[in-house]
Amino acid sequence: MLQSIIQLLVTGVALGFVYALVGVEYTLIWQSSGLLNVAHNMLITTAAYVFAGTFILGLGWPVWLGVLATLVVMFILGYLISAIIFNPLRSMPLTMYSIVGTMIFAKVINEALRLIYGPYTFTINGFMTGVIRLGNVVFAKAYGVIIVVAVVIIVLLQSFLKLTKPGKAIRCVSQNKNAASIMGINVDVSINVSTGLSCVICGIIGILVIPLYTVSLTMSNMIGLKGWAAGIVGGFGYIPGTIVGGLLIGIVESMSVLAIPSTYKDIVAFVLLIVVLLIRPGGIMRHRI
Amino acid sequence: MKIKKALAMLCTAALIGSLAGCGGSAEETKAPEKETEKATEAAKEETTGGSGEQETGGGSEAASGDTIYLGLSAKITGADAANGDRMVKAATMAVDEINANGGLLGGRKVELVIEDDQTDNAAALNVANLFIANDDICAVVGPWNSGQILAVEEAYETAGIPFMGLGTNPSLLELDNEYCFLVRANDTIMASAAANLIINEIGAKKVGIMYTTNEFGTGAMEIVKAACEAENIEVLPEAINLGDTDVTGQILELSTAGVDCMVVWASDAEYVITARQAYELGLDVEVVASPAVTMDQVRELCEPEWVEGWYSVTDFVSQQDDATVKEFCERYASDYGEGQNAELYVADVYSSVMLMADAIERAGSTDRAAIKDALAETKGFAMLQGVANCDDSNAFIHSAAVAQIKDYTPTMYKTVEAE
Repeated sequence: MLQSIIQLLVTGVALGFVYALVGVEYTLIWQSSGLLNVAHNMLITTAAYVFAGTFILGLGWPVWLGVLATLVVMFILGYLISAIIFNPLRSMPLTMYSIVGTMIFAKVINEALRLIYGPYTFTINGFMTGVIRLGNVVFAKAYGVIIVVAVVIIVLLQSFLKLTKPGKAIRCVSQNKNAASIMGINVDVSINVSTGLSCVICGIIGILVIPLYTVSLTMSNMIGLKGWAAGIVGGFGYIPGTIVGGLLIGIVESMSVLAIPSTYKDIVAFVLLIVVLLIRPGGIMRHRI
Repeated sequence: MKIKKALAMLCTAALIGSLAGCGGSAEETKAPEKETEKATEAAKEETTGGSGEQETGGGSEAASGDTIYLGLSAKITGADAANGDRMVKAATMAVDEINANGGLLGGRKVELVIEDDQTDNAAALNVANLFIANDDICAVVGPWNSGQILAVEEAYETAGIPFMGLGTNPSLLELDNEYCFLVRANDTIMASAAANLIINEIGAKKVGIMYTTNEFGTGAMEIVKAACEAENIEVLPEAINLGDTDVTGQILELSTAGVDCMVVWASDAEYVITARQAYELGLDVEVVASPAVTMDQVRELCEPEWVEGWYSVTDFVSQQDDATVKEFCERYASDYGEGQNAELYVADVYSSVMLMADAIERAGSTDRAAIKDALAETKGFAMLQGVANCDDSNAFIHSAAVAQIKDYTPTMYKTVEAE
């Protein structure tokens, strides 16, 4: 029994970190530009395709080079998307227009990926496969890597935002655009940079989940949805809150199989969401930025 | 600043414009079309809407004599686009072969009219209406999914066009639609074959069933459960939701219960996750599974050690000693497959077109009612999956093949006839 609990806990923490990272990346865009990026799951999928399809399987590059190249590509992609698509969208008269705009953008990415890479699901054989054994507990190496990488990313991100000048600029812009621009911060560039950063995190998520879900057009749909739930449960628009929300959903969902039939596992995240919305709508760690 | 605004307007217009074409005309943009070498197939995918215009494929426009038009409803885009691509390739191969052998009805060429049903029920009905509006189409192959067949069967019956559905849901046998023909062994036959294997060959005492909660998985689970419990074999069903990303809980339940056999009856993505986690969590038992692992595109997502020794109940096994099958697989791989091997989607659609062609020959004309009658009278027509005999429910195949994965290759184990 204890073995099962530890097993499920590890799975829950790993998936929780995935949801947390998803929450972080859309929160970055939300905080900086007020835009709800519904296309974020397709950006995660794009990163997975670019890494697996182009760099590893297509060009045959080693993993470390592929990762680096993917992150660079994602940053540039994010910057361009922000400059060309998101910036005009966020000045639309109604928020609904911008959300619909990103929804359509997601569909465009979906079909573009299908055209470029074909409709076939594929994977990288031997990439982060294998298990780690700690006594009686066995878990996938992929989970271990996810947990370590997620912690490192979160620490790096918080350091960047709190300690570096561009990071502080991003935080200023999210607090008050006008004041930031009066202070001499180039608001547009700052927003573009934070979208680029968000896409880099999408890239990391995309690469991390390849051994779990294989590379396909629908690979990120479920984690995209649960990422939304993570943000709302933990505190929408607040990065530490999102991380807590993600971990909570991951762990509760994973441990729930001990109590309820596994068919209902997916419901857990969304029931938690509804409960939080009813009892504490601001989220568990509600916080004004 | 004005240029920026204009550019932004242009991009927004492009985004909104692409909404109209998300089914297929996204191809109009500059993305290189790498998924098929045949330019004609690319032209086919730009659906011309409801105008009923023919998009011909697989042959030249200059057809001698009256051309025979066969409709193909394939899931070229949507959730199962990979298999839709196979459907198109297989049908093209069949039609090319028919034309190379002199065509049908005294030298008339056959041409495919291919439409994309987007792996979606509503879109399948749109495709059906397109075909119905086209007076030249004498018969249709497709759609594939059972849900799509249920959506279109009434329309085809009213219009009097015989069509070959490729779904396997047992409810299709109850349709009582004389224009709807079912070419694959249905799920009941497949699941019964699985139960047969477990009871008679594996001799399991406790069986765990990992199944997806759609009709495909649930239907099979119920059949296997009933058959096993009738033989006093304990059954533990564990459900997997579609889109589920982790089945640790379910596998641990089976592990703790000490099952000596596992049944996996799932859709592709969940199948792969189950295979991986069963291996990682050390569940080392005999496995009887649904067809997915015999298909390259699913098996290649699995590491060899995850699926070694698995039994799989399927329509078609490419690795077998039958000379016809071997020749077919070689021809497909070299001329049409673009590096991929033939598997059940290819075999089933190819056979459907061949069976339809045979029915047209026997009918002696392209009269839809005559073709329908000829299909209903099919007896002893040899196909890749087995011998086609049309029964009262308009189903043709009544046996299932069992393959075993040996050295990462599905090899034929035995054929199981339905009782």
